[in-house]
Amino acid sequence: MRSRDLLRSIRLPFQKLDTMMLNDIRLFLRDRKSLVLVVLTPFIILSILINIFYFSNVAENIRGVELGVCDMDGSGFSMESEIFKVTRFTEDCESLVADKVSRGELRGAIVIPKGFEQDIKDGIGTEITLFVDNSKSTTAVVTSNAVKAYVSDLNEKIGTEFILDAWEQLRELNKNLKFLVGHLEKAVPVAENLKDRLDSMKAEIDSVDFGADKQAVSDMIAFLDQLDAEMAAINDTFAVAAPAIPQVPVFTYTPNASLAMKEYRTESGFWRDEFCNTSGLLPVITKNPFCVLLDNTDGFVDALESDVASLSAYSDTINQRIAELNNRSAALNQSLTQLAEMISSSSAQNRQVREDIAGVRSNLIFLEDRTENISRSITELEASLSGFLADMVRVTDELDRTTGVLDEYTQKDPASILKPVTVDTRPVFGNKLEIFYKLPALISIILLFIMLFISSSLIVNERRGGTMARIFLSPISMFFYVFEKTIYLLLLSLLAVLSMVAATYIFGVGVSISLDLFTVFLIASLVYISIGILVGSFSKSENTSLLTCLVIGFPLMFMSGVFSPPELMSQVTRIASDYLPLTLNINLIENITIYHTGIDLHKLLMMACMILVFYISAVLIIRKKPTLK
Amino acid sequence: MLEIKNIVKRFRDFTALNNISFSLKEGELVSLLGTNGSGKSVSIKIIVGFLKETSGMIKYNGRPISQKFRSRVIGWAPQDDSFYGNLTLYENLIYFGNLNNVIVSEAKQRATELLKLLKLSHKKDALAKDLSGGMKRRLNMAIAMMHNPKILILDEPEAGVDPMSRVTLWEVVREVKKKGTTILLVTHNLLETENLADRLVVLDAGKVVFQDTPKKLKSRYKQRNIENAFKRLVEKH
Repeated sequence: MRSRDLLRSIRLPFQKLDTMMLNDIRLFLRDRKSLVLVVLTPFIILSILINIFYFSNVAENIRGVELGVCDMDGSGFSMESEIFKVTRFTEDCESLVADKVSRGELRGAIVIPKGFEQDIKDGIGTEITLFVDNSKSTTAVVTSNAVKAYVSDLNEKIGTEFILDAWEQLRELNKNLKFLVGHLEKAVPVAENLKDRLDSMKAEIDSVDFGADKQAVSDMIAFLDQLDAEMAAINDTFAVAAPAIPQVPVFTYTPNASLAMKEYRTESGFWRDEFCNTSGLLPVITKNPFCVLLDNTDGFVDALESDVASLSAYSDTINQRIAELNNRSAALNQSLTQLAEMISSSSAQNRQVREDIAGVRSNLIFLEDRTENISRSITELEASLSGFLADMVRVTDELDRTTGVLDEYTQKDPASILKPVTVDTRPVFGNKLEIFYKLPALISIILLFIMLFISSSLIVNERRGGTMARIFLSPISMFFYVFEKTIYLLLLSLLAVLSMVAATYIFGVGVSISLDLFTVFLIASLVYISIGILVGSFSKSENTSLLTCLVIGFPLMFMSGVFSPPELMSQVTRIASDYLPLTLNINLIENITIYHTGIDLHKLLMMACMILVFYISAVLIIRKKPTLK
Repeated sequence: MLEIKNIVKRFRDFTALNNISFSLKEGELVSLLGTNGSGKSVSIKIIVGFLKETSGMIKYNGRPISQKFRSRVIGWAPQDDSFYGNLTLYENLIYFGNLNNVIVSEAKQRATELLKLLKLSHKKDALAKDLSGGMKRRLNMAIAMMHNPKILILDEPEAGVDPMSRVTLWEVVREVKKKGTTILLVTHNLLETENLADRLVVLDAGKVVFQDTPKKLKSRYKQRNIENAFKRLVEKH
């Protein structure tokens, strides 16, 4: 008996669960509203969303945007494309198109200002105004981007033309530079040669010794000084001597001497005869001194006579000589006069010479200075030349490089200069339609709303209908009741998911359900069911619960990052959204279906915690007030 | 059998029940009477366990009653429909019977018996939502009786029911009483109460103002008509 009771007590909860489940399923099948809500609604909503988001790559798929072009320049600016349906306006149409945009008649309008083309040609730049209906944000962004892309292309075209022209100029410049480089290369050896010549010139200049010349000049000046002195002396001498050189009178032999000598002779003869000869008066005693004297005197007189004779002869000669001397004296005087004149003039010349020599010396000094200067200049010139050579080589090299660079540049495509960096976007997940990435999120959102509505409605209806009160009064615990309802609602969520998966296959964007994905949907469904039950537990009517579900569902939906990227949210909202069940759900699904990183257990755990919290809260609230009556 | 002792129920500053005490003896039908707002519904909710008393105690056979035990011994038929409209009568009965630990075979038998007792056999397979008001009240009663409770609490079973159905309803109550079920009947129908009730418990402003037989009530106020006696009682308080 005991074992039968035990077995019964074990079987009883399962029987109850079975009964309650069957009852709920029976009720569900008999309730068209629930059937529609669980099976058809997700199918229909997802089908609609698939069609909406199938071409959600708006930039590529938007068509026929009403765009006004107010061309005040008559430039023929054209924005014709599949994106735009263009209406053209002319003249002062700016306020007109702005008004049309603000009244919603146009989605956007471009205003081409007056002088548009001329400003571009003049290179002063111009500005296009784009009025855009930003109340239609997506269209506004697409319009703005399309216009910007068009303007970018236009800028590129203008820039390309400019660069091509610049390239032509640069090529010409390059040609000239190359010509210059050629000549510079030729000029280098010439300059080097010039440098060598300057070297040798400097050596020659440096070898010039002005010392000897200066010494010679000094000696010459000293000589001139001496000569001057001597000349002055001569001049002075001449000045004194000239009158002292008279004409020598002719020497005339005077007969008086001869007469005296004759007299003497007479006398001496007399005396001799007398004294010295025997027949004379005085006996020649042996030679007396007188006689000797006489003899001597006679000898002397003889000599004198001979001398006189000679003198006479000399006298003639002398006279002749005197005559000659006089002649010569005269000539000398003349010469002296001439000499004096010459000396005088020589002195002047000497002075001139001296001046000249002084000039020569000063010239020599100047020359020396100049030579030094020249040497220095040559040194400087050499240095400059060396520098110049180096510069020339460097300039040649630079010009070589410049021409190389110019060659390289002018061979470049202007487009690649104007747009040197282009972005090669490589979608890492291939070029699938956006719907493939959005689909799991859309399924999650629909699942969220469906399960919130159904769960909350179920609980509210049970509370309102009094059936929950009956259950409350039965031996069933509230946890068991909520557990059973959860299992039942989980079945409904499975139905809803299957309905949506069917829709994805019908529209050719099939989602393959893996075990991971199933797990995530299971956990997500449990979260949404628990939220729904919680909402149902405190809502006083079905309307209240539905409104509460909307109040919860919409923020969850818009904070999930499906319709607006999380990067656009404020920091607080973004952080909050990271912990919201729908965001966690979508992230988990994305990890599985897009990033293939498997289930993020951390997020799964967070969702499990949410389930627990919501369930406990719901049970506590229901226990407090199981009926609305 | 069931003893309600010194029950006080306060909702913040409002005292809904002020130290009420009464009891139900086995097999008797006690009618809980009172004007609107007198505390009848609160009393019933406390007895069935929906509300927790602020103070006081409910005892069953001399022992405090737990919620689990309460669900076993008390059958409650609320004044509003408390069943699944999209289930048939039979399904409703089986379902609630199962919830109350009645095994399927027993539940089926009991359901058939109750349908017969409550004169609903012909509607066995009809959806509950399609029943008339009186039938719905009887279905409510049948569900409350599915687990064969010792005490049946009927909360204004006649409310919103047409006179014909009302007659049937009272007949059913009588039948149930005959079966020995202890009944706590909350009603405004004093005339029917006079015929059915063994005792009356009259509440006024959260207090028990009378607790005795209908005859005593009439004699206390020297009235032939119980309604007049009740009127006098209420007016006095």
